Amino acid sequence: MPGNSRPTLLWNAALIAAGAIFVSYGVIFFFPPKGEWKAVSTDLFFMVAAIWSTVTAALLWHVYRPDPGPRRIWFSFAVALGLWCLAEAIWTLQNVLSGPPGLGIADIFWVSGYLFFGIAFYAQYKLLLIPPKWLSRAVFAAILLLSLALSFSFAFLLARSRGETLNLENWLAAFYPVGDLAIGAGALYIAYLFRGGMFSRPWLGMLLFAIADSLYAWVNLSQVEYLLESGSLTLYVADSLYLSAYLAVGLACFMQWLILRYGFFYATKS
Amino acid sequence: MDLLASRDIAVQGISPAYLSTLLHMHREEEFDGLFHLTHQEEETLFFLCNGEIKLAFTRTGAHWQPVTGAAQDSLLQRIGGDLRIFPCPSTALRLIRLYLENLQEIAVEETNCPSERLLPWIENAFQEHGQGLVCFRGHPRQGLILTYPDARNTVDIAGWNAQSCHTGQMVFNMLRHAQTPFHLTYHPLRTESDAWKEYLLTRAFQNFVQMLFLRFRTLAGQAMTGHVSEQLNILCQRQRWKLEFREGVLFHAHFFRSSQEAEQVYQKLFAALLKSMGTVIGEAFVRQSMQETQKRLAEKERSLLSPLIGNLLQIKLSLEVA
Repeated sequence: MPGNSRPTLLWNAALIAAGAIFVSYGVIFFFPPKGEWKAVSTDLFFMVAAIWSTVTAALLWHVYRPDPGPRRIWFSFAVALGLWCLAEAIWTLQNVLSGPPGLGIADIFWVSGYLFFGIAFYAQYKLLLIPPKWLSRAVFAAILLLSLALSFSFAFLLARSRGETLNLENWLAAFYPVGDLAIGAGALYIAYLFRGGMFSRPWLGMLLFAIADSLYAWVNLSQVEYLLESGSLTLYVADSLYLSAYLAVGLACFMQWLILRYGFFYATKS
Repeated sequence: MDLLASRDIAVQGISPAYLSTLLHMHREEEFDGLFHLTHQEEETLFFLCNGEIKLAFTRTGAHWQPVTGAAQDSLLQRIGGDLRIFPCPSTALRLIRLYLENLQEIAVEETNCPSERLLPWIENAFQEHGQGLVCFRGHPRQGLILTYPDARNTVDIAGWNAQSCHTGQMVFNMLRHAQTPFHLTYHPLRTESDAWKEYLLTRAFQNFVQMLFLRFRTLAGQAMTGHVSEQLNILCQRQRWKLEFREGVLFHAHFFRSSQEAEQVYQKLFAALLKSMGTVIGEAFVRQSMQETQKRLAEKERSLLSPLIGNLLQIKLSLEVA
């Protein structure tokens, strides 16, 4: 209800916290602490943001338990964010212990996260457009096959340009931008269908992930040194986009949860 | 046939002043129902109330005429007589209005119809004379049944006795087990009457809202449907409409003076539905759902609702063109 103070308070607190995290990250990025804390300080921001978005998505799944359609979407969404959160944690730990890790366990969680996001998109697509069963399955299979075909083709081209044979590392390097492209396209489509509504917001957050990841992929694949240097503006843009994607998804899920829990607590025009 | 023969007289020989006081008291109590006044000079008056007096009918010969505005006020100031008070829900009021506006013609009559033959008799009359209103009178129950040939082949029914008025399936069950025979009249409906237009419009709106909310619920879930319903209820309360949304189900207890009044209210509610649901799933998607829902309505209902929803959907079209 308009004028309900508790959800307004919670929402304002979440907004301030998200803003504070975003600004602090900028400060730490350009003025990093000395010594051991240098590596861990920036990674911690991603960890906190990932936990925040996972918790809010899980809350949303919890509140949607009586509704089979939305429940399926938010369960997969929360699991995907949870897997990414685990990946962030593992990556941070490895980074602290032995410097930036290469291919490793974290990638298993990142790749699985993409799969669960795919399931969430599929569930949302089915609920929105109510396609016949054969069509929805065909669309899902087509996107999966296209993603695999594209990632293998890019991996092959990448390996050739590096003078290597096709291996898992090359495939992963190619898979991430392709996965991001698929997620970005799906998110854009769903956000377009829900345009103007609060249901579009978590998907717009996902779009931010796709943009940030594409920037990372470009920086990594280009191998231009000044872009990769710590403290570079490009890296900051990619990092802050990635951080804001977690924060935005978390805020969008939190807003939806608050409304489901307390009703429309902000005044709507009628 | 006396529509309220089963009801006892509440006040005998009531004066115009006392009648006016009684009407005022009932308005304060948000009374839903009917006042039936039999004047000494054989003049009969019906007041249909839904919180306040919505319509008044007076009999001239065999016909009932609506009395409005100054004529209604003047009648209230000069008329007294025997008063029957009949509390009943808006569904019954709507059927009674249909009855009063369609009483001119009796297509077929049966004076001694046993309960087991009641439904076949109605079915038969419907087949022979088309859509109509059945007025039944037995002991102790009497009432009205409207045959409605839509895809679901449903009927609306209101039945009453000296104590109470009921609507829906419950009345059918009572009629099925009635021990005494019925006196039945079948009145074909004048489809051009305003009562019929308002009835159809209300029915169309209810079906539309039910289907739209069903779609919304699958997308947004039960809790969100509840919150959107609350938003709509705030509007209904502010406007003093006797309409209530409970988790997407519309409880319609409002009785309109005319189809125009119903159109205005429903138009405002469509806009509110678009706004409230749009906050959640986006107005573009609500418009699309509204279009799909409209297509699933029966043709008669669709043609009545189209002008009301048309404006909302046209905004989308003009935006797309721009």
